[in-house]
Amino acid sequence: MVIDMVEENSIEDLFNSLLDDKTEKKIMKLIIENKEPEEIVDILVNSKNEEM
Amino acid sequence: MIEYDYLIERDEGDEKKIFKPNLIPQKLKNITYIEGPNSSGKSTLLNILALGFYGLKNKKMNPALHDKLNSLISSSHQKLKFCVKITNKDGSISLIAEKPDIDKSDIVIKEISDKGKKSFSRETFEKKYNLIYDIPDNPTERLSQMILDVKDAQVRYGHEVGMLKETVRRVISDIRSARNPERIKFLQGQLDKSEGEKDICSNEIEDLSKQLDILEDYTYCRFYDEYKTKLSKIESKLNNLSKEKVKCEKKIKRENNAYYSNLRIARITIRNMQDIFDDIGSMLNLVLPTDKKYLLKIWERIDLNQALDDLEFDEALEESIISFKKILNERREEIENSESSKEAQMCTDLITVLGNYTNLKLNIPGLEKTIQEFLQDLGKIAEKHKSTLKLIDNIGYTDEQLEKLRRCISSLNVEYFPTLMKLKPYISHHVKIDTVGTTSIEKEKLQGKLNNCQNNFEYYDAQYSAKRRPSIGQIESKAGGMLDEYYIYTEDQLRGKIKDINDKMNRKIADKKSIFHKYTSLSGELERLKSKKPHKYQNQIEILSELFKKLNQLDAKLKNEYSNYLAQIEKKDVLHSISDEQKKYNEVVFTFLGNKLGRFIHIDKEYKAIKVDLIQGLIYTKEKKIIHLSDMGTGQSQSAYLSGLLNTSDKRMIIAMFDEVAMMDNRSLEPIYSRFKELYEEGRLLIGIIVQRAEKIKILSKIE
Repeated sequence: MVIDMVEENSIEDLFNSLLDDKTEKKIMKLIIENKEPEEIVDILVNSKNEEM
Repeated sequence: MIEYDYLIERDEGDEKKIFKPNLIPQKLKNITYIEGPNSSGKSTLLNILALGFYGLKNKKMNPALHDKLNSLISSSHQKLKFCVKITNKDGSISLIAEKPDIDKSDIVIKEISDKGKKSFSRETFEKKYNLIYDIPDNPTERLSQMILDVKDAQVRYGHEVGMLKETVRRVISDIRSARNPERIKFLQGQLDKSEGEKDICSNEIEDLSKQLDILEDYTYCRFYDEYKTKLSKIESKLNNLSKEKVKCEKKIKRENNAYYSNLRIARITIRNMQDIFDDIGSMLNLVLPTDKKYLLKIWERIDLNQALDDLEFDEALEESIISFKKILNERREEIENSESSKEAQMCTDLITVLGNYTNLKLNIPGLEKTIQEFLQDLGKIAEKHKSTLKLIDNIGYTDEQLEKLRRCISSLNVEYFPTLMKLKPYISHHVKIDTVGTTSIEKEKLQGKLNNCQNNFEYYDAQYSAKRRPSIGQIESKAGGMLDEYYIYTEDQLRGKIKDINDKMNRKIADKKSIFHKYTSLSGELERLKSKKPHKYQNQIEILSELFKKLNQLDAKLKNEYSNYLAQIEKKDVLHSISDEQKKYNEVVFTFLGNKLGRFIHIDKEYKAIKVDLIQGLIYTKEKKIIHLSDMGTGQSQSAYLSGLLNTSDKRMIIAMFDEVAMMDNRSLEPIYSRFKELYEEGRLLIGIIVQRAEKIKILSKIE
């Protein structure tokens, strides 16, 4: 089992280590940053569009 | 800067005491160390600060502190009002908590910043501020509670994920209800389809209506005629039956009259015959020769009245009459032929003749006796033979009576008994009832039929009339062959067919209504969509749907999967076989706790924790030392525990207050102050207060 150990003491890093999915990680990051839901939707949709 | 004021009104039974801040200054630096004796107000200050910042609803708080807060605000013996104001390092934010009314429980929390004034609910407050208020009692045990931070984060972010999920769901729904060319195209297609269905339905209804009209015309016309005819036939039958009944009743009456009249005559005759019969019986007893008297026994046994029931006489009667007549005639002949009888007869005849001449004074020649004298002599001779003559008279009389009886018998046998015999069956009581009864039952049946027929006729008459009474020719001409299959249908079959068509038509009408509603709704929706602006994520619906799926998975992980793993850590469940996911979760969380604990002093050396295994109760250090939690000193454990509390992982502003840190020496407290300062410099610490019990009041500011 390969685990990305938490190097820094942050909840964001904790979830970053726990979650495997890129989108899930991104969602948690934005939530922890205290972004409003509408803002998060905006960021995620734009980021997906950019990827495409 | 911390500024505060409070007033506590306490009822101590004999007096009401007022408590106000007096020993501890009402203005303090953001990082402050306070020591003092009991009742100096140091814990009250911390409690009021905690009360002001939703401490009562803080789930991470030590339960002992919860009790103190409750006692302060909810005791019946004391009332409280307060106001606290905390200003951050650069003065850009002021947080004010106020309970202005001593009698009301409302606490108002406001934040004043360059963005303006803002009030907080508990959720919004906890989103921005992190209240850490603790008494580090039983520190070794409570090191384990560092995991509450993870639990709190999982719950809080789980809630946030849920809200985000709802936002995405709403956005998707908004897109669907916004102007969407594809949806417009789809709706237009549905609308066209619906219009086609509407037309088909209308045509079907029209066809059914035509079919129904013709079938109704035909059925009503046909059964109007049929029932009219039936009605007339039944009425006629009923009339005939009534006549027949009257006729029957008359006949019965007539037959009854004849019968009873004959019976009456027969009864009278027999009554007369009975007198004669009895007379004959008596006479026979006188005139029968002794050797024939045994025949009287037969005579006496004869019952004339029985003939009224049998309508014939006992055969013995006629035989007896014949027999007696013969015997009597023979006897009379015998007597009449005797000398004595002849002599008596002659005397009698002479007396009769000479009786006419009694007035003559003439002597009868040869006798020399007058007529009178001769008559006397004759009388004497006749007297001598009188019994013989009497017997002859009696025999004659009996014979006459027998003859009378025979004539009566003959009359009854010839005239009355045959008539009675003939009429008797008709005047029988049962027969009479049966005859009239049968007619009545039949009449009743017919009346029922008539009523039924009348009802049906009235129904068809009304229906036919409503259809304007078309002739069968007109109906057939309109039907154009459609009726061919129905000519062989019975009434029930035709009415069943009418009902079927009606039902089918009603269903079609309902379908049409439903299609019409659908059509109206579709056109309304289409109009509405056409009038709308496209949603800004109009073309992103797939991305959003994908995002929604991810959020669902994340939601499930936080609320179920991770929550279960965490519960097992809290319970220190050492399962023999745990999933790879749970192993990973434990490793990550234990490493997170190690980082959270950071540097700590154990015995005489400082270590850096890299992992805290809460199930085994072990701290793994960077220095490769593995320390058992149970081996740590109390003051050091307290220090490690408080450091852990301060090593928060989120970006929220911290309000930290530690009470009763009596077991900690300066060396143990130093890492706490260092952490306070670091956080304060980073702008993440709003206040940091440590309180300890001592003999004298001492206030130390830990910042310049």
